[in-house]
Amino acid sequence: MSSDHIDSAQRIIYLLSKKLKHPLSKEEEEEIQSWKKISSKNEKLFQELTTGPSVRFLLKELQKYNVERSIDRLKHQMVRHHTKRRWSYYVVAASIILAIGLGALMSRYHDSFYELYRNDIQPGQYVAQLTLPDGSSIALDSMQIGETASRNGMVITKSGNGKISCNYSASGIDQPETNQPPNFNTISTPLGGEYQVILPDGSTVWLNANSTLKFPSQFQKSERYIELIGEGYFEIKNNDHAPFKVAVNKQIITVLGTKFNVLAYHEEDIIRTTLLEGAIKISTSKSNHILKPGQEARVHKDSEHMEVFPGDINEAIAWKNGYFIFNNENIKTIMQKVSRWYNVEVVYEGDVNEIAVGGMFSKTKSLQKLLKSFQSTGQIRYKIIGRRVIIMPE
Amino acid sequence: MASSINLGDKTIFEEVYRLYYPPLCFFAAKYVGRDEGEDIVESVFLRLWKQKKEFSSTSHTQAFLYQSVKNSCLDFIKIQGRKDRRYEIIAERLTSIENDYLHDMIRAEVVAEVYRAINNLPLQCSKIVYMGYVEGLNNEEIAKELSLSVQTVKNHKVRALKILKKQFTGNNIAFVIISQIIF
Repeated sequence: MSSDHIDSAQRIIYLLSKKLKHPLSKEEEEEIQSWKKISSKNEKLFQELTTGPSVRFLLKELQKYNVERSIDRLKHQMVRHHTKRRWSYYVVAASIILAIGLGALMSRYHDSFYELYRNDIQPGQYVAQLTLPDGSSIALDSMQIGETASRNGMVITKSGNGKISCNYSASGIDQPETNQPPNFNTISTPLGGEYQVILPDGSTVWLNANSTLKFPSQFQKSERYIELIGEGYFEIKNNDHAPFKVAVNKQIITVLGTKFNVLAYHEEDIIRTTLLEGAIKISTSKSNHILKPGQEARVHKDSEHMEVFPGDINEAIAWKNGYFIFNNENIKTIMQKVSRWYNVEVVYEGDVNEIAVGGMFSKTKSLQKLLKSFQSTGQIRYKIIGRRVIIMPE
Repeated sequence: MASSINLGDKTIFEEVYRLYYPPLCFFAAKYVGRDEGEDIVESVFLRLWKQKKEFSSTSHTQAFLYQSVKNSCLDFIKIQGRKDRRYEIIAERLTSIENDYLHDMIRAEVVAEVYRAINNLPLQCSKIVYMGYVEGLNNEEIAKELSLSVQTVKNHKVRALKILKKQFTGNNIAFVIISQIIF
């Protein structure tokens, strides 16, 4: 069986066991429902594992097996295996002392397998919150697909898993275009969240984890203005009469119609903007630059100094396509991205400044699987304790 | 400092064994019957212990164990089949196991989640729950068996429920089953 099949089965195990114990999020519930619909075999299994009496019956079946007796049997066989070898008494004594010493040391660092087992950290999900100008908020992940919410002149429709579209309600359109500052809506993703938003003009924004998008309840006729904190990928609809403007920290990106990615987290010193198609103008208080497709602009937050490089488009938008792509990137900046998506804390023991990793990694796998891939480069080792990850040089 | 799961380590081995022995036996019993199933699970684990097998993650451990047990079951059926010379039936059985084993793994592991929570209770609590639920003893009989007062037995049951309540949300199936089990 290919590893993909067993991965999907393990995902279903995770969701169904979670469902027995806690309510699932709407997205998780939808994932299970889709799986259920694939075959009548899935449907039957779903019923079996979500009905009290059948789960009770299965639990009784498991209880039939006596682990203690089996362990005793096994221990006898393990002793027999060991005594087949001939050790001198001195070597045996020395190795016992060493083992006891090591045991004491090991026990301080060994995670209980059960704890590891219960805490295998899952990747991020489609989670986001929309806050309207009146201060009320909607958890977008709790909306059903097809559901709409209508408030403050905006109609928000959940168009798919992790996707919403915003439109003006009829009453909203009549608002006069004046000097009145527009009211703003805010969409934020938490650590471990991501979401896709279609704005009233038809432009689409993908928001990465720990990011915020602010847009007005009414785009002005002469310009479309939004603000971004964190990371977003934009596909902007062309409108010659109303350039699209993205404010990022103190930088402003002016767009006519185009596709680009902006990386601007609070914790980072540099704002990175990569252009895929079209043309954008990047303005700071010190300079302007028009970017060409394939180029990346880096602006230092404090000095506002701007540099333009040939960019790597695949690397910049990998996150939106379900991957991490690293081009020989330092392990610390890699773990920054990993910590946002998995919502974990990262600490380093030892010197990791020279360690770089390259490659393409799926971001929908569990954290352990991802770290295992990093470890196989032979440069680092890791430990996961609860929601803290420790990275050590090899 | 180990960051992988090393079955050569006695403590780790025992923990993994306790977690996986029942669901793996249940899984194997469907294909080869209960007795052979237990033998197969024991041999798989013994082999891994001798090899000091290391896993890179808990999901790796889970996947490897189920695949190994499945493969041993298939081997057993092939060997039996050669003795009986019933080749067509054997081929059919082997195919149906390949088709079903992921679903059977899902079934075993999902229910095991509840089983493990009960078995991860403090020793007295889990013993008492086990005696009540599986062996069908009432509080008086349990008290006698363990040389405790009936009140102590009841206290342990209440404590078990409290601990499990932290892991399971009130109305969900697992909690309902567990409350029925304990009381």
